[in-house]
Amino acid sequence: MSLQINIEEILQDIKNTLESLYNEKYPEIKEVTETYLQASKERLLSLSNDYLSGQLTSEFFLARIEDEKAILESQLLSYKVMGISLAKEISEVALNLLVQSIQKLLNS
Amino acid sequence: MKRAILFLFASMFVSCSFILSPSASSEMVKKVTEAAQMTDQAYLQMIESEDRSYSIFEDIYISIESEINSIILLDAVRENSSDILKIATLLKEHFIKYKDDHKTRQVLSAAELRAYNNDLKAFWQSLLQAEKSLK
Repeated sequence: MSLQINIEEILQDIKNTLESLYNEKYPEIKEVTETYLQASKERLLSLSNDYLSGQLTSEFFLARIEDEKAILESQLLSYKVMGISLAKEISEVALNLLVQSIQKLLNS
Repeated sequence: MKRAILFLFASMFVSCSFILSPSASSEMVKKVTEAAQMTDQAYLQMIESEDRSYSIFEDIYISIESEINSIILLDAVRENSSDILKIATLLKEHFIKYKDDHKTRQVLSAAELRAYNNDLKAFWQSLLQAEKSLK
């Protein structure tokens, strides 16, 4: 199984977790969540493909995962300007799940 | 009479602010869109180039940084823009970090440049979303 498939599974798991966590509130955060996960997916797939094919060092790869936190912060700020109040909470949950899953994947 | 004149000035001021805000905002959206495109184009050129030495791309790095500085300057004087300003500052910090990596190591690989471009696109996207929704 390639890392590419795993990244897709990780993001699907995050979506499922958020859906069950936020249950009734999920419809109001659905669009923000899916936009965030879709944007992350394309970026992470490109990054992981280049890492797996030996084009990136693990140091560079992990530094970009670290930069995901700043990207998330910028997205949270934009959601705040857009008046989406739950965005901070859900995005933090999503990022924690993402970082945990990637670290698990790299350690396996 | 004085009250009527004051009311007239107050009405004019309120009207002007309603007219000026959207145009200032759409001007910023245009500026951010153009700077984002400029960044993407520069990175795509670097990726495609056979020689990816920093010195070849130094001028374009300076032009983009200058555009980001200009956006930060304009946002700093806008009302209710503290969150937008933080996004623009995050963008600038990472743009400089990636530029400095190129400057220090002199040559970056296509994959490294692709990763940097993807991250910067995400920062630009956040900034554009925020600029578009700022009233």
